[in-house]
Amino acid sequence: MDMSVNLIFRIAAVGILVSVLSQVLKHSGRDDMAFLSSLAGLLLVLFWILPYILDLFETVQTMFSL
Amino acid sequence: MDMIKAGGLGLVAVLLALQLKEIKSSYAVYLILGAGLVLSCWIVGRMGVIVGMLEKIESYVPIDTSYLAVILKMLGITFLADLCAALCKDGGYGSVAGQIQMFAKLTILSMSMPILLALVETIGDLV
Repeated sequence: MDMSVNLIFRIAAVGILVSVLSQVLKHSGRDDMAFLSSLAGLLLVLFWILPYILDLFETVQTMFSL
Repeated sequence: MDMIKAGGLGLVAVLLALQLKEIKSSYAVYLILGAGLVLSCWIVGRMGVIVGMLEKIESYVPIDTSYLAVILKMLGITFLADLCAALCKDGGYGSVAGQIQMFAKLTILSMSMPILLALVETIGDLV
């Protein structure tokens, strides 16, 4: 598995950016856009994490013949 | 060296998650999920080495292969249950973690029943 710390830093970066973005949007009165931006951030992070989750569960399944 | 890498990664993730917790707590949980995944991938890699060694030992010793398979299944179940329960507890929902743990315990118990039965039968034959 080639992944290392950069997955962590990417998630952290998305988290910080989305929270700043939603704060700015909230103060400028567009609460719905703020909600949509945090939703987009969530989906982006999930897209990164899901293949790893799938890969982990498959490895465990094949290794322990579950 | 690997231990330093794993420890460092865990610490970095926790420190970043603390930062994120104040701003937006949901992303702290995603960060910890990501770190948990990276670490558990390394753990699975190490376990693979042990499982390979177990299979090699098992080929020398003429014991019944089904017992080793059951033990490996239990190992996998405990590993997954522990990972998922810990992540649920980190997310703040202890009840879900408890249910995952309960399900894992009952699965292992139900898997070990046939072995217990075999033991009782052998004892019965001896008497």
